[in-house]
Amino acid sequence: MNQVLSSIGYYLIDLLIYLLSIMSSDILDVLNIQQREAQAPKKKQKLNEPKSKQLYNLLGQNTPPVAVRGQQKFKDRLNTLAKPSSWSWTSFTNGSRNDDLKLHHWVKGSKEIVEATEVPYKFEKYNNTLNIPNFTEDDYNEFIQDDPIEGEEEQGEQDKDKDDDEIIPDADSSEQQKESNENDKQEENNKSPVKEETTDDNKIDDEKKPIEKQDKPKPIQRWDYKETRYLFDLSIAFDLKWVVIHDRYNFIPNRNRSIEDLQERFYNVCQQILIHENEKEENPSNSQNSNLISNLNFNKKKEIERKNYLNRLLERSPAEIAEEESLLIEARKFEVAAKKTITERASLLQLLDSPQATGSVGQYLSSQGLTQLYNTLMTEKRKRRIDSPAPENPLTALNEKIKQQNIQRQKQIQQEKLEAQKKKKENPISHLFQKHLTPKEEEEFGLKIHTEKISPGVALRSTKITTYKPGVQTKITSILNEMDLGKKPALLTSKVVAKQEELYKKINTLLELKRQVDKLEAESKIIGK
Amino acid sequence: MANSNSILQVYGGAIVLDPGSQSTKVGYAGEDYPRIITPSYARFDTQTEDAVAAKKNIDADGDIDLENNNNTNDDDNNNNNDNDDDTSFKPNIPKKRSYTYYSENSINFPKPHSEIKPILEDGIISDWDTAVEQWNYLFESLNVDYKQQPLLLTEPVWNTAENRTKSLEIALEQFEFPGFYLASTPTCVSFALGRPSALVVDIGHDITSVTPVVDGMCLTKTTLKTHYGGRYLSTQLQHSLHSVNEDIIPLYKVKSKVLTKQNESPNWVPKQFENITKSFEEYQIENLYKQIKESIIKVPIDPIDHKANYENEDELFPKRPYELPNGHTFEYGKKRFEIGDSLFEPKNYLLDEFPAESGEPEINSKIDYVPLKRAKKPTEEEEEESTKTTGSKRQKKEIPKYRGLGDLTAHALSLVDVDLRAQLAHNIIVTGSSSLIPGLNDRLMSELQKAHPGLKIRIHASGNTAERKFQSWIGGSVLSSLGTFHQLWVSKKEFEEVGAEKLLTERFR
Amino acid sequence: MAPASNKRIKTLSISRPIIYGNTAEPFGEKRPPNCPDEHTHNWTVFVRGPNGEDLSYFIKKVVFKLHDTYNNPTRSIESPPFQVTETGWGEFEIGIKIYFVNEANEKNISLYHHLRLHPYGFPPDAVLTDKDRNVRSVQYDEIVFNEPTEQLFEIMTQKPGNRLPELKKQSEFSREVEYEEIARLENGIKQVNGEIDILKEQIQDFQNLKSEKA
Repeated sequence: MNQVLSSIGYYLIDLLIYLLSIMSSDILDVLNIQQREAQAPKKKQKLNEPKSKQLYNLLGQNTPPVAVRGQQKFKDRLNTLAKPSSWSWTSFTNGSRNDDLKLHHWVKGSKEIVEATEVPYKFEKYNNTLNIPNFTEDDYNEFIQDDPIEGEEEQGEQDKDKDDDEIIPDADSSEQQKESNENDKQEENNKSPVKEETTDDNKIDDEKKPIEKQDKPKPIQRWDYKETRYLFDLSIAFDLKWVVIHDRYNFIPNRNRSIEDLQERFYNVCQQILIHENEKEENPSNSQNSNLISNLNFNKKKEIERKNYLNRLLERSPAEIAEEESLLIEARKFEVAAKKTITERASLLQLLDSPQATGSVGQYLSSQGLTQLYNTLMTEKRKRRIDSPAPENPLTALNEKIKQQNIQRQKQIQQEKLEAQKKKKENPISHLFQKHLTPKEEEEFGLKIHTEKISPGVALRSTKITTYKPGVQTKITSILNEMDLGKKPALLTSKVVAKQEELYKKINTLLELKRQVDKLEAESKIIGK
Repeated sequence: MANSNSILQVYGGAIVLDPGSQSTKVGYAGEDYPRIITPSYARFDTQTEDAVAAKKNIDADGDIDLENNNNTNDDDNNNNNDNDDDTSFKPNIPKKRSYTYYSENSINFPKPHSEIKPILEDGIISDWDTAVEQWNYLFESLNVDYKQQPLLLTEPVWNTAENRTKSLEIALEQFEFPGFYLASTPTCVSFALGRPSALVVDIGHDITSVTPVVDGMCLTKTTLKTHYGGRYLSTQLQHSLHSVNEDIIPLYKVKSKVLTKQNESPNWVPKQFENITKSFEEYQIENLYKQIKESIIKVPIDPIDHKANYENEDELFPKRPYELPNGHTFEYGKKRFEIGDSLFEPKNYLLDEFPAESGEPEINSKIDYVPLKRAKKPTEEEEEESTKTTGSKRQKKEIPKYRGLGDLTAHALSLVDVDLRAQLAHNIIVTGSSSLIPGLNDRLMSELQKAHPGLKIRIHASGNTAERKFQSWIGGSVLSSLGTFHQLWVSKKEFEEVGAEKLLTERFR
Repeated sequence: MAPASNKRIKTLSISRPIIYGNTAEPFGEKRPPNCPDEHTHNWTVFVRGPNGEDLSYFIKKVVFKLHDTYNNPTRSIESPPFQVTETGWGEFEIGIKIYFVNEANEKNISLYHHLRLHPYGFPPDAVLTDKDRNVRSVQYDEIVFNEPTEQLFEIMTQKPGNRLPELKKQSEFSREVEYEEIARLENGIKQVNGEIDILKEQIQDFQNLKSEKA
C-alpha cells in the first residue's frame, strides 16, 4: 500500500517539476532573464537528470549559498525504528512512608511481568535520619536544666517567662512561621527600661549597625524544657541545617535567638546527655562517647568572631580589594626576588669555593698552638708553590680544575670505548663482524657502521632528512617542483635518502649563491649609476 | 529483568498545579511543560438569575438548574455537563455555580454585565470558591484520576497559615487526592535549575520577591518582597501613555482600522457594546499593556539621571514604534527605558498606587506581641504605626525605603547568614515573566557587583522564554517526579491523624 | 634477562623497510550489513613489510587512531597482520603509532597517513573502471635503529630483512625502482650543479667588475 502511494507520489513530483520547469523558463523569458546555459537548449534530456538537480535548476539565477544535497529516503529511516517498548502504570508502596499509601508510577515492561516481579521500592534506602541524642522531661529536670549562660542576671525576665508558659509552642509556631519578624520585636524588648547586662552576642544581623548593637544589649533568654524540646524537634526535622532551623525557629515570636544561641544550646544539651550516659556506664573512659563530648564544645564567642571576620571579608570595598591584590602581587615579587638572591649568593659561594671554617680556634690560642699553625700554613704554602704556580686568581684555579676534569673525563670515555670494543669482541654477536660481510649482505641486514657520532634511538628513515628553516624549505620545495622532483620518492631506502639529502644541500647552496648574485647585482647597479 | 526495569522507571502520575497571580499552570509531573495555561481570572455573569439569586442568598446555589442557563455556546457548560454524566468518580466538591466561566475564550468574550475577577491577590488565593471551581475545571480537562494521582500545589513563601490549611482541606477532603504536597515557589524554581541552594529572584505580576533557598528549603525570615513587578510596570506604562495623550483602546472594541502615522490622529471604527463592565475593560487593557511591555520596554544598563541632559539621546535610547489596536502608531525612545528603569529605581517614578516598600514581609497583627512596658512609650509606638512599616529594625526609625530590584536583591543577600552568602551570590536565579525585559539581568548584575564587591556574583536565567515563565511549574514537575519525593506526599489518613497544624510546620518545609 | 644485554651497540645502525598506507574500494553491488547509510567505501589501513613479510619479530603492536566519529577510534592491533578494515565515506588523517618489542628498549614512533578513498588525477568526465576505483595509497619507509641494544641486534640479524626484489615487475618496491629514484635524484643534482656553476661564474664576473672599477 505504502509503495503504491509513494510511487504515485513520485509521478506527481515528476509532473510538478516538469510543469514548473516549463513555467519557470516561460517566466524567465517574459522577464527577459537569461537562463542557465545548460538549461535552455534541450528540455527533454533534462527529465533524465536527477530530480534534485532539476529542482535546483528551477531556482534560476539565485543559487543558494549551500549546496543542495540529495536527501535520504524517508521511508528507509522509518523502517529502522524499533518497536516501542511497553510501559505499564502500576501501583507501589513506599516503605519509608508511615502509612500504606498506594501511589502509582510508570514502569518499563509489560504489565504481567512487572506485576509478577515485586521489587521493594528502590528509593527507600535514601530515607536516612541523623542520630541525635534524645531526652525526656525527667532527664531534663535531672541533669540538663538551665542554663548555658551561667552567672548572668535574670532580672526582668520573670514577666516574660510567665508569658512564655502561656503559649503552647506547637500551636503557635505553625501560624507564625511565615510572619517571622522577631527582629523588630526584639528591638522593642531592648528598649524596655529595665537595665540588662550586656551579652557578647553580636548578632550577625546587627553587624551593619554596630552603634545600635552597643547601646542596646540583648536580653537574657532562659531556656526551659518546652523550648529545648522544640529546638531538638526542629533539629531532627531539618537535619541540623542551622540556617533553616534558625529560619523556622518560632517558639515565642517576640524572642529572637541567634543561630549561635541555638547552636550553643543544642550542643550543650547534647554534651550533658552524653556525659550523663557516660556516668551511668562502668568504665567511662572506654566509652566512645568521651570522644564526642570533647567535640561538642561549642564556643559561641569564637563562632561569632569568625562570622564577623568573614563578614568583614565579604564586605570589602573595591578599593580595599584592589589594594589587597596589589599587595599580594608585591609580596610575590619580593618572594621571587628573595629566592633569586639566595640562589645567586649560593652560586657565588660555590664559585669562590671558600674553605669552611671548621673546628674551633681554641687550639691556636696558646703560643705553642700559634707556632704550630704558622708552621702548617707555611708548609701548605710551600706545597702549593711546588704543585702549581700559586694561582692568585681563584677563577683561573677553577678553570684549571675544570680543564683537568675534562681531560679526565675524556680519558674515561676513551677507556670505556676501548672496553666496549673489547666486550664486543667477546660478544657472540661479534662473529657477524668477523665474518666480514660483503656490502651487499650488510645491506640486506640493513646494517651500517657509522664513522660519525649517532644518537641512539629509533626513527623513520624519512624523518632523517634535514629540515631547513621554513622560508628556505618552501623555496627548496618550489625548486624541486620546478625540476619535477616534488613528489615524495616512492622508496625511502638509505641510498635514496642520502641522495635526497645531497640534493637538498645542493639546492641550499644554490639558493645562497642566488642571494649573493642578487646582492652583487644590486650593488653593481648602484655603482654603475 | 527487574533490575533493568527499575533503572528505567519514570515517575509519572502526580498532578502539578501552579497558580500565579496572572496565570495558572497545570499538568502532569515528569513532563517538561504544563498542559494547561489559563488566566487566573474568572468571569461572573452578574445579571443572570442565578447570580442575582446568589447575591441575595449566599446559600442558594444548591438548587440551581444547569439547563436553564442561556449561554450554551461556552465550553465551560459543556464541560460541566460531561462532568455530570461521568459517574466513575466524583470528587466531593460543591456544584459549580452556573454563572462562572473559566476558559480563556469565555474570559475574553465581551458580554454585558460580566465581571472579570482575579482569583489570586499578591500570589495568594483570595477567592477559594472560585479557585476550587477553576481547579475542578482544569482537572476535568486533564482527565485527572483522583484516586491514583497525588497533587502538588505551589505556594508563595508569604502564604498565610489559614490559606495553607484551606488548600490541604480542599485537596484531601474535597478533591480526595490520595496525596498532597505544598511546595514553595522558590523551592520549585531552584529545583527547575538543579541548584538546591540559590537566591531566587522572582519578578511576577503582582509581586517581586527575593528568597534564599538552602538545600531546597526557603528561608522565610529573610524573604523580601515588593509590589514593583509586572503590574507596577503596567501602571507606569499607563501613566506614561496618558502623559502623551495616547488613547488606549483594547482590541475587542475595534471593528476596523486604518494605519495612521505618529502625528496623525487615529482612524478607526469602534464595535458597539453595551454594559461592558469596568473589570472586563480593565482586564482587556491590562492584556494590551502586557503586549506593549513585551515589545518595547528595555532596562538601561545605568540608572537614568533625570536631571541630566542626554546629548545623544537618540543613540543612547533608540526609538521603537508600537502599533496600537486602533491602527495608531506611537514611538518611544527614552520613555521605554524609563519604564524599565522604574523597576530598579522606584523612588524616581513615584506612583500613588505603589507606596514605599522596603520589601520586608508584613507581620500578621495577630501575633503582635507588645510587652506591657512598651505602653510607657506611646510616642514611639505611634510613630511606628503611622509609618505602617513592618520591616526589621533597619527601617524602624526611617521612613520606609523604596527598594528597587537591585537594592532588594542586594539587601536580601546581606541578610543571609555569612556562611551562605558567597554560595548564594554565586547562584542567583532570575525568573518570572517580567524578568524577560531585555537588559534586566545586566542591570541587576552591575548593581549587585556595586553593592557587594567582595562577592562573586553569578546570575542564572534560562534563555528560554517559556521556561522562564513556567519555571516554578517545571520545578514542581521535577520535584514530584523524583523517586525520593514519594515519601513526602501527605495522605488523607495522615491528615486526619496528625491534623493540619502539625503537618504545615513539619511536613511542608 | 640480564641487564647487560640491554647495552647498546655503538656506532651501528640497523634498519628495516616497512610500508604503510591504505587500500579502498567502493561498495558496489553488495553493501556490508550493519553499516551506516552514508558509508560508501570499504577500506583497510595497514603497516607491513614491503612484500608482506611478518614484522612482528620487532614490532610489538600498532595503534591506529581513526576519526573520532568511529566507535572506539583508537584501535590497538597486537598481532600481525597490523591492519584495520572499516567502512566509511570520508577521507581523514590516520595516526599510526608503532610500538617495538621489549628487547628493543625503544619508545614508539608515530606517523600519519592520509586515508584515501577516491581516485585522483582523472579528468572529471572520465569513465572509471572498477580497477580505477579501487584506490591504493602506500608509502615505503624504513625504520632505523641507531645504536640498537644487543638483544635487538641479535633478533634483527637472525635473517636478512631488507631483501628487495630486483625487478619492477616482481614488486612495487624493488631495487629497480630504487635505482630509478636515485637516477632521478642524481639527475636533479646534476641540474642543480649546472646552475651552481653558472651562478659561480656570475659572481666571478661581478667581482672582476668590482676590482676593475676599483
